[in-house]
Amino acid sequence: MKNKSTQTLLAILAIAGLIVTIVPSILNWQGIIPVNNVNTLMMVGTVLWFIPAILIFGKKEV
Amino acid sequence: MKATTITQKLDNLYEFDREPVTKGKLQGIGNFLGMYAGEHVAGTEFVIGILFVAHGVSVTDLFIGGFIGNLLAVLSWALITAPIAVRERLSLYWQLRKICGPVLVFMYNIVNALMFCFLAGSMVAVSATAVGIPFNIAMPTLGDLYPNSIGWVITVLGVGAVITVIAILGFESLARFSKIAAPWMFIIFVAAAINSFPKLGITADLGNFWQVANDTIWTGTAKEGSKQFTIWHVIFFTWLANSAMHLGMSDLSILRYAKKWYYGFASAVGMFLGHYVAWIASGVLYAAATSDAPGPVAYQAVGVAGAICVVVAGWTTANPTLYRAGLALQVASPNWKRWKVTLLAGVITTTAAMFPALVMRLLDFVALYGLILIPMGGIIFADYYLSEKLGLTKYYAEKKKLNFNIAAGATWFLLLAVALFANRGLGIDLFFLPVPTWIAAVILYIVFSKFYQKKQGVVL
Repeated sequence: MKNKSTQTLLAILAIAGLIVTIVPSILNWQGIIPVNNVNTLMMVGTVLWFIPAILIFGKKEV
Repeated sequence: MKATTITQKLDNLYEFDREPVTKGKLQGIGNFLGMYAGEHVAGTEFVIGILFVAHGVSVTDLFIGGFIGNLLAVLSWALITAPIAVRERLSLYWQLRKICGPVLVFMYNIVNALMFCFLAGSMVAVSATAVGIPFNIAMPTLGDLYPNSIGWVITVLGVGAVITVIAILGFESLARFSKIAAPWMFIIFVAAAINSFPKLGITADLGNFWQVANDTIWTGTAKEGSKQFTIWHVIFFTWLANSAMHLGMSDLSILRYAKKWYYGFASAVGMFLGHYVAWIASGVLYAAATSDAPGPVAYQAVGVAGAICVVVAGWTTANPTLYRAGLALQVASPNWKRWKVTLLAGVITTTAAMFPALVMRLLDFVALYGLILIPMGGIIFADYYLSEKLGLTKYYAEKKKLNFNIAAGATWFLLLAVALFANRGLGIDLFFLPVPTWIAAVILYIVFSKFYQKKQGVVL
């Protein structure tokens, strides 16, 4: 992770992952998307959070 | 084992932190905020929120009682633990060793190790409730105390084995992983609760939230077979859920790295995110579920991501706990390699995890855990603030080169016996015992020391 812009990109992806994890449940509550889509999107958000987060923080103390 | 061997083994084990933390190693408040946030959004949160609902906690009890209890916990960390930690900058082990002597600390370590094993066991069981979903395992219910099926036993054995092997092979990597998982777990908690709103009939403008909360979630009526809780239960449980860490002084080992005493207030992040928002969230999703087990409850709320969250939450809590148990047990097993001790801790943990009582009675266990260790915190407090003012010798065991400070030992054992009688004989709830026990420990240690130190004829 020497390249600063790569790290910034990964950080943006990780934050996007958290947003994708929580926003679908709000949309479901507001009646905008069905519950099945929520579950799928939360899995996408989970993967989107963990992969960059592990790449950023996995090899050093956080 | 001879006392000298015990002393030598203990000292070798904790050699790395024998000296007070030096100025160069002190850490900023960010580390403490992160540490407390990560540590208190854990697998236990899934269970505690559920159990509060089952015990008939009302909305007012939870929102007001939980707020007061968490505030008291933060104040305990900031005003009681942190000031001693930053002035002495010693780990709990060395602080206790100076006061109590190595043999008494050895006994404390063993008790602590067993408590850690049981706590890790409850987390293995929490993970198992999610791992068992695809295999259609019969999940334990609120009333189950013993293993309820072969499938459950096999699932727990599998989860326990994996967790033990990982604790042996890669504790450091897992510790990093658990810090990465913490923000995601918190988001899953909140998302799962929000996703349960439509099922509970909570409208999009939140207009009927309090009505639904009163009528459907925290109804104020305990489920059949569960004891009825009041706001006092919530306040005292919330305050003392981590009493071993604050009033019991375990976090001296952490907060000794703080630059300032007020870093103890960083615990507020863990308390109010983990022990307030997450407990509320898990109560909401339990009310919308048709199971008592955390795995299916989370799965029903948000599908696979919820089940994964339960596995990760249990796993990331169980592993460091198992590691700490191994560390504490190592003093009792001469010449054993770390992996063997961790394996032993894993066997105890996995065996304990087979009993659903550990999860379904988690509130009692957590209270008991704090109660057993809390007198030592009172002894440290008394020694630090009162000993010299009252003409007694501070760090008595160290100065007198004692293996066992009888005043400290008598305080601990007597208070445990009294607490046992108060609970079993008088029927006083475990939740209400740690605070009077801590206060009694402060007083009794001083009184016993007056006699003990006089008898020993020491004025140093």
